[in-house]
Formats: sequence, C-alpha cells, structure tokens
Amino acid sequence: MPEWLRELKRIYLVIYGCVIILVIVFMPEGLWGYAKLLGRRFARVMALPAAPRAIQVGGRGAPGEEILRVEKLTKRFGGLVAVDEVDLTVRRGEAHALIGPNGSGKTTCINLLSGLYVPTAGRIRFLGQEIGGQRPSRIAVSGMARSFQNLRLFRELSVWENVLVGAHRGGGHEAETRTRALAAIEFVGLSDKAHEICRNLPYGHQKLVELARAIAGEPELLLLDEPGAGLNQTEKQELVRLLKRLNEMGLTILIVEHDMSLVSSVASVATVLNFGKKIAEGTVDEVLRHSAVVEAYLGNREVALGV
Amino acid sequence: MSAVSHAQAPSGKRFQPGYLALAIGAVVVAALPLLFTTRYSTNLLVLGAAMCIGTLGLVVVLGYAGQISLAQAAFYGIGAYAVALGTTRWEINWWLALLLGLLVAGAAGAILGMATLKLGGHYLAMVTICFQVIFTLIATNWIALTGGPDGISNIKRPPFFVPINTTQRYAWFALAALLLVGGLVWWLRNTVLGRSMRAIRENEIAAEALGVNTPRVKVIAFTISAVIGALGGRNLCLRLSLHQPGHIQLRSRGGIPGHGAGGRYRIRPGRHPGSQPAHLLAGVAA
Repeated sequence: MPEWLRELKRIYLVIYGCVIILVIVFMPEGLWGYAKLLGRRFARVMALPAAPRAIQVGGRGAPGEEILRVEKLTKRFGGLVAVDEVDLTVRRGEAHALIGPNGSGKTTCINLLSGLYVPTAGRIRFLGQEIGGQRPSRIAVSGMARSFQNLRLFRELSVWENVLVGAHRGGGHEAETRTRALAAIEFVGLSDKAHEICRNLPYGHQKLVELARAIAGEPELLLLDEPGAGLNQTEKQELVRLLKRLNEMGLTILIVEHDMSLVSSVASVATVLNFGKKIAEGTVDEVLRHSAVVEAYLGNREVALGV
Repeated sequence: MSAVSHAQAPSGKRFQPGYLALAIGAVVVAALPLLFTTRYSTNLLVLGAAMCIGTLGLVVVLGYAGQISLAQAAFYGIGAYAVALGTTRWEINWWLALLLGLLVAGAAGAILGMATLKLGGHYLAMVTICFQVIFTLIATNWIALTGGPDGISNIKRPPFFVPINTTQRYAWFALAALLLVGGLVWWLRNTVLGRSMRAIRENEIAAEALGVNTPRVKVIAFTISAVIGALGGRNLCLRLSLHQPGHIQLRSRGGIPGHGAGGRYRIRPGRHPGSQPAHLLAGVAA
C-alpha cells in the first residue's frame, strides 16, 4: 500500500459520509437503479406473446346455484353499527350490485366478505364453506377475488408482475400461471403496456391492471369495489363492456358502485343498503323505483317540502 | 413452491442488457484474485465476498419482502461461530459444522420473523436491532462457549476437492460462494415465492387479498435471509481462522450504509447486484 493512504484513515469517515450523501442525492435508486436507467436506453421492449388460450372464468358449477350466502352479517366498530344483520344471496352467473348512499356500509360488506374485517356476528358461506373470519388469503385461494376502491396495486412492479401475482391463485406450474396472466392482460387490452411499471400508468389503465390482476387467478366470484370511480365516460364504457363480457363468460360478479348507469348496464340484481341495513332487493329496475330507495338517496319528499 | 419451468412457458420477458452486464460482472469477479495478488488485497477480497453474501441475505428480507431487518450481523455471527466452534471445540467435519450453523441461523431467523409478524417500519427495525445487540452481548460475555472478546483461533479449513491452502484459493472459494448465492437470490426473484415477497413489500393488504399467505412468506423471507447471512459468516472465518465478536459489530457498522448505497432504504426490484459493489466498497472501507 502506498504511504500517502495512511492519511486517509483519519478522514475516511468524512469521505464515506460524502459518498453516501452523493449517492442518495444523485442516485436515489441506488447504483443498480442508475445502471438500469442507463440500460433502459439500449433495451428493446418486447411485446407479450399472444395468450395460448382465453381467460377461463366462472368456475365449474351449474348456473343459478347459490355461490355466496350471507346471513345476519353484522359489523360493529365500537358503538357504530356499520353493517346490521344483512342477508345476501349471490347465485352463480349473476351480476349482483350492492348499492346505497355514502356511508351505508357497502365497502364494509365487501371487506367482510373478502376477510379484511372479521364479522362481529353472522355467517358467510362461500361455495358451501363457512368463511367468516378466515384469513383473506385463504378466502382468496378458495375462489374469491376482489378489487379495491382506492387502488392497491404493486406500484413498483410491472403490469406483468402484478398480474402474475394475481395468477398464482390458480396454482399449477409456472407455465400455467404465465398463461393465465397473459390471457388476463390480453383480456383488458394492456398487452403493449405489460412491461411498464404500474406507477407510471395513467389512472384508467391502473384500474384495468387491478381488474386483470383480480381475474388472472380465474376466480369463482369477483368482488368489485367502485370500479368506475375516477374514470371518464369513455373509460367507463370500456369497463362496462369488459364486465359484461366477463359476466357472459360465466363469472359471478358482486359490484359496489355509485354510478347508477354503470350499475344498470352491468348488473341484473341489486341489493340496497342504508345505514348498514338492507332496505330493498330485486332486479335493478325494481329496486331503483322502490320508495325506500328513492327516499334513501333523495330524502323524504314530504319532509323536504314541509308538508 | 412450484419450480420454474422456462422451457415452454410463454416468457413475456424483454431483452435486458442487465443479463449481459451480470455475465461480464461474474467473469470480472472470478478474475479478481488474479488481478490482486498481494496478501493484503486478497484478504480484502475474501472479507468483501463475505460481506456481500451477508448483504445478499438482506436483499431477500429487506429488498424483496420489504421487512426492515437490522439483525443480519447476528446471523452472520451464528454462521461464523458454528464453523469456528464446530471445527475447534467439537471437532466435527467442517461441512457438518456449516450445516449446523445454517440450521441454527435458519431457526433463529424463523423465530425472529414470527416474533415480529405484527410489526412494521420503525418498530420492526427496533426489535431487530435489539436482537442484534443481545447476540453481540452474548457473544462477548459467554466466555465459556465463545471465548469472549478473545474469540476463537485455529479454525480449520474446509476439506475440498483441491486443498485450500493458499490465500488465492481462499479468495476463489469465497467468490465462488458469492456468485452461487448471488445467482440463487437472483433466481428467487422471479419464482412464486419471490414475487409473493415483492408483492408484500409493495402492498401487504393487496397481496393478502390475492391469496398470498403474508405471515408465512415473511417468516420464510427472514429464514432465507438468516441462512444466507450465516453463509457469509462462514466465509469470514474461513479466511481469518480467528473469530471475535468484534467482527460481527464491524459488520453491522459497515454493512447497513453499504446497503443504503445499493438503493434508498425502501428497496426496489432487482436491487441486489447494486449492493454488491457497494458492499465491496464498504468492506474495503471497514
């Protein structure tokens, strides 16, 4: 070692600190992130290959059979009863809407069904099994997929990787997982964006990624929590088209949504909640004309007019 | 977890210049002992390789799974002490001692992982630091077992196909282990397990809702990271043939900033090759 290096020993912590600061300031992604950034210039982005088969959703049961049965489902947060003895039945092949004014307990319901919340009371039977209070991952593996109201994507992963994680649920070999993921991405029409990092995608596309991720596991029941929120008219129409196609392919959908035109064009059956209680149930047209529903949304006409 | 079959799988990959860079990097690393031939710099190489392996363990738990673990040096120490004690005190086969170390470290990692399941962020960091501090205290004060601050000397060399009796050969042995572990960690990234880990890092609730058993995957991440850390420790005492508690502390000082250089604290995809050169630097600096 050269003799002058001996001096370095006294100030090496200073040098060390400076290097760390410089790296954090100029290479926030680290050395490898910097190398990747440089490498990106030379990378050729290859499009995804065509999916060998279409996505197969809808499961194997007979249409019309009960797939989800909820009895007296209740959730209390302290003194607040968010969901109050709700009964709900979803049949295979149905597109079922769960609607209601703000704060009526729709999202809480979805969270209870998917296992994110543990019910205070009541029973949830899914495909003949009691799932109330189970881990969300177990419920997901048993065949229920969901999307989130405010997106919960794996932001730093690519579209492809996001959907792959969703496709794990179906099990089987890596090749089958990849096939499902390819089919799901193709279904929502994001094949050319598959290697983009999700964080960089526009909101509308991010919503589609969430949909693709949810269906990639080929679930039996799809829970959608406000899929239309934040989308413009064109994007909403595209979403309606996709959801209708999924439903035609046999997928059972339970959708929470505020946009009534979206609800009426996708769903056939609706359940209405208000203050955590079920106030109406039936076909979408029936329900929307129901006096209790009109009152819940618009207020009591007589009271408003002071009659 | 199911094995990856790339053969007929639709890959959906893109051409990554990174692969070429990695191949060149591997060749360069393998050639290092030929370039640096003085005893001092070869020693540095071995130390650097040991630290790189330890950091690769961090890549799994911190980089992939996003769980802040500052206890890596403890696992490193477990690996080092297992080989040191196994070969000197109990006089068992070197490889058997290594296996023992990996098992103990893996078990310790699993326990740490299970104990910290409900914790995240700062709290997880604090608990893992405590684990580290406790380990260092035990290593320093349990003189009957560890020899205290004096450490353990005359640690045996591993029996291998070629006798490992020159510094250059130690270096190759250490670097080969580094490349092997690096390759495995790289491979793990795109398996079902690796992707589940990264999903947990990005959004735990979403991962859980997609069917990832998050507690299990987290514990596995801690375990793998501990085992890899112990492998790094093995490398260390391979060269020094003397093991002291100071070496573990040293690791905790040089290592964490070294890893920080590999990417800001919240680690992002594909980080580990970045932390390697950074760590070699840290190893040299320490």
